[in-house]
Amino acid sequence: MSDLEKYIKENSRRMDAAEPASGHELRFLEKLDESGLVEKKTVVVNWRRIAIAVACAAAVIAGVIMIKPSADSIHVVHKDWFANAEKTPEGVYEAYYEHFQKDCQEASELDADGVMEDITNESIPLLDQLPDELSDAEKVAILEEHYGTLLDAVAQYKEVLAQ
Amino acid sequence: MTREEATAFYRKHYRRVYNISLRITGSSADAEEIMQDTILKYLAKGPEGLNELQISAWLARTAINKSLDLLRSKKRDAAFLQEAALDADEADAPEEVNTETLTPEDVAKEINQLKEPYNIVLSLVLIEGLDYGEVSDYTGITQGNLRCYYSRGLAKLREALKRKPLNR
Repeated sequence: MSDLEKYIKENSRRMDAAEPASGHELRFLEKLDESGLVEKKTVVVNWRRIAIAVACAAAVIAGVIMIKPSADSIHVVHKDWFANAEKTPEGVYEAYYEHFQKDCQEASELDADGVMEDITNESIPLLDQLPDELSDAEKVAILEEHYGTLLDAVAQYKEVLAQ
Repeated sequence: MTREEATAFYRKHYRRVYNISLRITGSSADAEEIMQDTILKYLAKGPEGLNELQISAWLARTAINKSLDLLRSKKRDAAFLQEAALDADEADAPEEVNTETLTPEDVAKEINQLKEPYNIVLSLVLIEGLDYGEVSDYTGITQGNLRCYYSRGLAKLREALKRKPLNR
């Protein structure tokens, strides 16, 4: 066996360095949902649910205006959801998704109508819509702002449910 | 299986399966498709009770088969893996390259850029560690021809690596 053959065999696993195109994991999750192998996460939007979500949002706003909140009432705003996330677009999305799933699990009994999923539903995730021309740092900033706002809304809705 | 378990399994195996397919198909889009279908196939109806090594081997074997099937379907004119038989530009074996100046990424890239079937034979034998009998089963090429493609491919790889300007 020549030096080159030996070199390739010894380093064979280091040759698996190529990465699929950005967003591959999300595309896999879509296929996974379609396959029916696991419980489907995404919910088809219907107008009834949207109406409920809007009504809830209006109720929250009315509550804020009409009822002076005490110190321990609604307080979850602009939490730093991504402090521990990897500073890549995929890292931000994964952190968002983990927070969202945790919130869903915690409030699953109270949120029978799936309003939290309606609040966060995206037909096409923003992660997949950002143009390639943007740098990763720019994408991270946009995604943190967008998904942070969604998570803030979910957290506030959870507060309403709890009350 | 939960969604989280499926995602963890995917993260563990996607890169290797993707690279196996990429080396055969030469197409990132095709390789991703095959990689995801292979992993889903295992999750849906893969054999049970396998250890990590066996799971990895199952995924590799399935990805190789799917990748070769794709190549066959794209080359229904029977040219699949036959061009090299007509390739008369076989050179004398060039002298050995200095492996100290190489990186695995460079070598993988040069293998990917070789013509069929040299790229496929080299990656299956050298990188995946298959023997000629297994490669023959996968590709339908006789073991005698495989040996010929392998040595020609290795010579072409050496030539390419010698021509390549060093990145460092």
